[in-house]
Amino acid sequence: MAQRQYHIALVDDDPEFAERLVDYYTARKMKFTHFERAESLLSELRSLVGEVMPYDLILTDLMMPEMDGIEFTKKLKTLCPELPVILMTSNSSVDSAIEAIEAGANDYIVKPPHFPHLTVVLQRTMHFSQLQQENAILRRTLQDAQTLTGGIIAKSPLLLKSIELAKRVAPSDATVLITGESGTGKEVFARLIHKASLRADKPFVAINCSAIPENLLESELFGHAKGSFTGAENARPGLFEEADTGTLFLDEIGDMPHHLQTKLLRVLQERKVKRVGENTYRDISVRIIAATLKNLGEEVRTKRFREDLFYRLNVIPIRLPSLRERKEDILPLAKHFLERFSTRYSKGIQGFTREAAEWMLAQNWKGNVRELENAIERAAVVSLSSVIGLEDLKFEAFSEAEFTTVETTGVALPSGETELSTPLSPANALEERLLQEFEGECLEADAPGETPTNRSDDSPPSLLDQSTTGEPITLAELELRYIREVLGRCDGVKDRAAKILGIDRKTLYRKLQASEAATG
Amino acid sequence: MDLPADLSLAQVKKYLDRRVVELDTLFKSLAVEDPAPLREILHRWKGNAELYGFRELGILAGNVVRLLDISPVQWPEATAAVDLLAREIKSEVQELSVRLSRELGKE
Repeated sequence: MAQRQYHIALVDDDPEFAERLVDYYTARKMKFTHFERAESLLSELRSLVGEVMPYDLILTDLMMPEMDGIEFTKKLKTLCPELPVILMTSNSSVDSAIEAIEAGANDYIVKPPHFPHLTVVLQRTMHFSQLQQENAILRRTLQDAQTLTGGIIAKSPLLLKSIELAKRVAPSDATVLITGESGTGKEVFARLIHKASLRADKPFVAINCSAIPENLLESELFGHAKGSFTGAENARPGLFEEADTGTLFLDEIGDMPHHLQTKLLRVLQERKVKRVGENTYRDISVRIIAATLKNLGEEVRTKRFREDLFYRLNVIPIRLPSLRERKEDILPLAKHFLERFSTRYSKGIQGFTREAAEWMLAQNWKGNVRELENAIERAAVVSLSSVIGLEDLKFEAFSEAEFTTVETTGVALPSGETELSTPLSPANALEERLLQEFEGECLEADAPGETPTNRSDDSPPSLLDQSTTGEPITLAELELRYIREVLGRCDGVKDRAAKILGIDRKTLYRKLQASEAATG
Repeated sequence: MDLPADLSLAQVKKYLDRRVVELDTLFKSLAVEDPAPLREILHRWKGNAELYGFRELGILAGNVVRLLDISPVQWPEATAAVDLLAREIKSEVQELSVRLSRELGKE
């Protein structure tokens, strides 16, 4: 990493002293900004709270009109406690030294300073401050590693293994290649690695290589010189330069055009980048994390991806399991998303029905976590109850055109929909265990008369068991119950209920009257 | 005068010229026995003179500041110390003129 230029704020009411220091250190690659009044610097720093501090150190005089160095240091330390301060005193008495250190100064020097001595004090203080900051990052990283999975919801051993690997490689600068189906959280993982790295407080820049037209991708990545192509009215740095000292996440790397693969390989090898239309190379220090849903080995075999680039990127391969491979995480994820969307849409939804949970566990989730998230958001929006039911999760199927009527039950099912024909009971012991774990946490309590003993044979409750008299219920009764159930969920709004039932309003009235007449 | 390697004679001359102007203020303050302007000006000299190659001047300025900090201020002693300072500046100005003439001669 190229050594950066230190930036020091000098606070001194003597312009000739400041001029001398600025001249001396400018020639020695240290940048000084002079403030004649302490209040001017404090105002600037107040306006920057929460942003990156432009100064590495404050060098201040002790004796100044308006606000002296001690008062200034105290105010500064409440504003920016991590910013190191060196006080300049005009005499070397122990009292001044003690006063300076007690005010929060990291060190003090006697004025006029001997430049070589001042240089040593400045460098030592900045080095110490840098070590303190790195130490804080490492402590935070260690704490995260011990207490969290980096914000990723993970119970599945497969995913926990991937997280463990990610954390182990994070502090190094090794290139990482993340593979996994769409929606498995590749960018979330890349951010986890960045956050756990020593570059955590540096930029994280992400680009989706398949989302940008081929002709723009090159200048987006490497930047361009002014006038290098039509429309390039100004010079612009590319994402490599933007991510300098940080991490660049190249998503969908498998879709990168072949000629850019060559250019990327050169950047990875030489750690230098050349803007489009320029002849000079710029040094960069960027950690690369790439991701793809493609089988890059196969892409290499068919010559669509450069073999040498593949090996450059595949230093640390991390594979993310699909959601169906990590069933343990489906219900915790669902709960997490439900909490988020219930709050966002002010719905006060508490959990899921057992039926809904069973259904979620039985799904393939080809779109993985993203698809589950969308399903929960949609369910939270359409739900009329305090719990998400199966009908809420399957709401997308309720389009009139797709409806067919199942004659035997009178229940409308979307055409081509197979989920209801799938047994809603848990398919295996794992799913049953997951449901039990989830019970009491986010599952609706079973209604009276619908105790787990009714389901002890692991089969769906039979319609024949649903009569209160013990006799099988009639088709008319079943239809009426269903109509009433839908009406209830629609708060009695008949237009909406009719739409959901796949019948017109008049038919709904007729059925209600006829059924009521039949059942007395 | 111990000219720092990174400073030109022109920069040093500019520094001394400013001190000569400030001497006038110092004597006016002595005449009315007002310590504030004296303290402010001489505190600066104490802090910056050595950086421009005038170590002795900085020490003398420091001496006057110390005298001014004693209460009540002994004005005859303070005046004598400022006189000494003025003579030091005069001598530095002369030395600088010689060096500048030599520099010009070389050119």
